[in-house]
Amino acid sequence: MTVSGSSASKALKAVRAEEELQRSISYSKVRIRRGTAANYSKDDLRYDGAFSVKSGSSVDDHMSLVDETKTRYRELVGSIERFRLGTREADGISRVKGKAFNLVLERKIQDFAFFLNRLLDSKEPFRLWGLRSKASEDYYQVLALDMHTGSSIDLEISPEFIRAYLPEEACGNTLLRLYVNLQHYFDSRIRCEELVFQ
Amino acid sequence: MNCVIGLCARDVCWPSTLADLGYQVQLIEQTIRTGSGDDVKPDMIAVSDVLVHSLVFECKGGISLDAGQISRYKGLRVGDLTRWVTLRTANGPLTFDLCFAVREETELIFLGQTDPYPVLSFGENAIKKRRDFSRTELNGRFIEAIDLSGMRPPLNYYPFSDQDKDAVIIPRVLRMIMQIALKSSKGGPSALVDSTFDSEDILSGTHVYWKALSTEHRTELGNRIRGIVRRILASHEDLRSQLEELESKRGYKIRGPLTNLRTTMEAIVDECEKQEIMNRYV
Repeated sequence: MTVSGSSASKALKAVRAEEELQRSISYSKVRIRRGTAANYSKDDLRYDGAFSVKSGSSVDDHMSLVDETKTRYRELVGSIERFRLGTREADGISRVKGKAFNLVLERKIQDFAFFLNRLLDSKEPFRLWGLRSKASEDYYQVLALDMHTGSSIDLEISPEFIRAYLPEEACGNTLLRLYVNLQHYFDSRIRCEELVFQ
Repeated sequence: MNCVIGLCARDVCWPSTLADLGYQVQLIEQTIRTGSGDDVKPDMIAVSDVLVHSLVFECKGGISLDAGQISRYKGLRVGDLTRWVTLRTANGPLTFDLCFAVREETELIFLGQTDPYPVLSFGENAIKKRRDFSRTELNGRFIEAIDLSGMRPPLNYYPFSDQDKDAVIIPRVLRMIMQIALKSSKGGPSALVDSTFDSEDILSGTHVYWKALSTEHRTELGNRIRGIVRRILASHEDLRSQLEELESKRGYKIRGPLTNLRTTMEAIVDECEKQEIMNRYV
């Protein structure tokens, strides 16, 4: 569904009034207008990072939007990478560092078989491959590979949260894509305790 | 070990009892020479800048202590630790406690062997402290048993040690094989060649704290991993041929082998878990 103008705020109001709807609806894209009334660029920015120029004549405004988005994305990826598990050398001693990411779900996972098959089928959107094992009744351990980068990611999955561990060699992008795709395809109210959006 | 590390993290659905007092894990399996000339190798050491205190943990998954372990620890002094740990505060001096973390079902065995040191006992439903720490702040956090109902223990901070059973190590080895095979199709080494697993770079991918492990532990783990790889590839022809197929693929046409490999590998893990259960009754 695409809405714009005054309908957009009405639609937003309707969604905000319905809690059930909030978990099922996520933004696919936002339209951003930058520049002056006469010289501007109107861009669509999709949830997966794709830009498309809709109208306007200002290449500079378009480019500055792309640059700013890239800068913010890079900063976010950098902040994620600070949590990666690994070691750091200081004075000839290897000290351990890092912690898990906690993705908290508002929409509970009810059908684990379906959820895990979809998550780990190596296809778009998640592009994860993984071995799952049952730790307890509704708690799974998953050793996954990000097919996009080839790096590993460990997951613990319960109905109400997903814990994710990135090793030192993984890119923060792996976690961010998992978060965004879960937000887009499973629970738009998902939150990650370790991610700080500015 | 994962449960103790989890206490020092701030994770959803696991208590952050030690993190709340400022503890952070700094060292894993670091050999420390004590003032009396003995070597001790605690499983982990956590340090709190807030309390200016260090917790030296021995995590016992089995049912007995190593011979002479307690007497070696009796020689451990705070001066032996200060070289290894980092304090981000000038408020001193540092103090420490040795603490044994055990499973609830082995608590009675260890209580008899670890006197006078505090013990944290991890059960399905609660974490209980037996005997006191030297710091009242710590004792205060464990006055009541820590309720674990609704909690989910972390499983992936510390992947495995050379003491773990095959069922714990095999899934990570299989994933490593898969990772190598995927990269092989882009020019990396083959997962089907023995010498690939001689590389420290490859082996380190199985364990996030590889560099923090002692040389002996890394050697042991390397031997263990190589043995598992050889055994699995020799006894599972289907896995071998699927890996060959994957390694020969170029570009994006790799979906078929990926699904088959997942099924085959999960069957191997399943078979190994069942074997472990059978072994318990033999």
